[in-house]
Amino acid sequence: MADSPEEIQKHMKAYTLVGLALLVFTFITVAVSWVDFGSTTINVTIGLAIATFKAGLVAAIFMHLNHERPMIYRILVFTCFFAAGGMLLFILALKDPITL
Amino acid sequence: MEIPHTVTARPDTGLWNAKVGIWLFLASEVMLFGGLFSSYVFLRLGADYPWPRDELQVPFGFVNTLILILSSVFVVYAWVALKMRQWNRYRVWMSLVVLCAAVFLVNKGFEYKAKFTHYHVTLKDDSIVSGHIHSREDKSIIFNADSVTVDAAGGNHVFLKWLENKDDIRFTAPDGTEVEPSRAWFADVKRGLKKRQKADQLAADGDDAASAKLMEEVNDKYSALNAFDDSGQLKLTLSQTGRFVIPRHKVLSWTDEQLDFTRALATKLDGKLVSATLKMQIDELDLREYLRHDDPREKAVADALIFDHFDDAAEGQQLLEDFNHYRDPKLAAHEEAVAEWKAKHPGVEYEPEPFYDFERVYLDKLHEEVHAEDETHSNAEGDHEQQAAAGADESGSHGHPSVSIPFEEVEFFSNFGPRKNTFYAIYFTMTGLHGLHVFGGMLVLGYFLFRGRKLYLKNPEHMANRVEVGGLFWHFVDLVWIFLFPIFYLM
Repeated sequence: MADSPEEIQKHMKAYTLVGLALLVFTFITVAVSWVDFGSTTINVTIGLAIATFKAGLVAAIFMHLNHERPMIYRILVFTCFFAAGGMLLFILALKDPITL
Repeated sequence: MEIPHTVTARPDTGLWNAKVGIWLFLASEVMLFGGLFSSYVFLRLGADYPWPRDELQVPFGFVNTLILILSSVFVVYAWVALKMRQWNRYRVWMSLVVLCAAVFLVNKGFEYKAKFTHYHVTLKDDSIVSGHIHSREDKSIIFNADSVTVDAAGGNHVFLKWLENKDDIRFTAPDGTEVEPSRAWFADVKRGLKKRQKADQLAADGDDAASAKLMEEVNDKYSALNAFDDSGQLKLTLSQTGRFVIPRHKVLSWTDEQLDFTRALATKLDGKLVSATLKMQIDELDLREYLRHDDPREKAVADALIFDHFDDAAEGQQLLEDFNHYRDPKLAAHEEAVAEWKAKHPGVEYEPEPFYDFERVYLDKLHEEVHAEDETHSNAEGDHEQQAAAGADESGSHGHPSVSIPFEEVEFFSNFGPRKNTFYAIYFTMTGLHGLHVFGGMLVLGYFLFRGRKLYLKNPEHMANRVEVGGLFWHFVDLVWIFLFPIFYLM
């Protein structure tokens, strides 16, 4: 954890850079949406990949997940497991729809 | 009492308490938004109509994304300032965060307003137009009533809401008594009806005395009920013609002389129908659903119902020509591409694409295209006078023709709100919930900004930790938007 003032001061530069990167990637997200990569699936995948990368930056740097205590990671592992499970339920419903 | 571990770490978790708390809260937030994101995937993959793309205005979403990212950076700066014990600097950064949140919400407000005042109409043949409706009357059924029939059991006073001149009107029952069909009057009627039913029940059970006593009470206290006929109906005559302007969805059916409200209102009007047409200025024409059921080449665009309802028939004809002019080369190119594909893949069955995007046009764009062509054309001929005349003529409608569609030809009509389709339902649910988070975050961070000085002076580290926790929530709000923006605006 970045607790001492000196360490925090060092992180300021990283925060600024990440902010800039996020802005740049927002432009890129819009720009690639104008390009037709051949199918909607590819376009959606690319768009989501960029969004995931941006979200990763926010989580790792701004939310300090790159250097947290194990307790936080433990909470998040459970969260990811159940969130993914919830997503999977919907996908299973699509794969095996009830037809009348 | 001192709250433990606001600054120092708890030995078992290794963290100060609020940090564990906020992460548990964020975990529940992940589940909440995760559920909604998976609903989005489910709705989108399961949609049996073309999923709307490019319907939202990207600049709104784009600017809001930039604003949230900047505010995320500012909130970290604010936290750093507190850690460095620079109160004034903290105030500057935190003010910017709150300002960003406010701008985000105002922006969102404009965006929502544009959607709520934009309308969509599906006609019975599945042709679709969108546009603007200029007054409440233009989207209502207008009926001049001489009498109104109310129902003792199911009726209520709500129908008065749509009576424009209700202050000038008195209602008279067939026996000549004046009646005010207010909420209290209907409540009395219903109470009386219940008592009368009970009295009937008592009489059937043989308790004539009790029944007679109850009936006496009904006649005394609930005499309003006596005016109703045996079937529980009461026809009230209006002292002068009542002008009703009623939303379409409150009306079950109508003829030239009669109008029935929906069953929830259980009321009928007798008189004269003034108008049952939806009037709007259209800005988009979408014939994809109209053409999808058959081979589009065999179904004539000109036969779509919408072309019968232009206020200016010539304008409708012009739009039809422009539409075909725009579509024909695209359809030809599409057919050519299909033929090419078939030649390249012999023996493989071609699965036709269900929707052609060029069967939907935005009239502004169409108008621009056609107008540009006209200009080149008439410039070549040097006929400036004619061009000016045409320009003046067209400027009246700005390429947005007016249509009047009889309600009986309207299959579905709605503003671009949540009820339009599942896209708008999930869009408003998710962005609305996200907007509430922005609002909540703004309140909390605003509190830290304006009311944090005392705690800062007492225990600056505690204050910094509070801002860190608020900041974590704020980053989460930003993180959700990072996904919301592309999936709704760009894909």
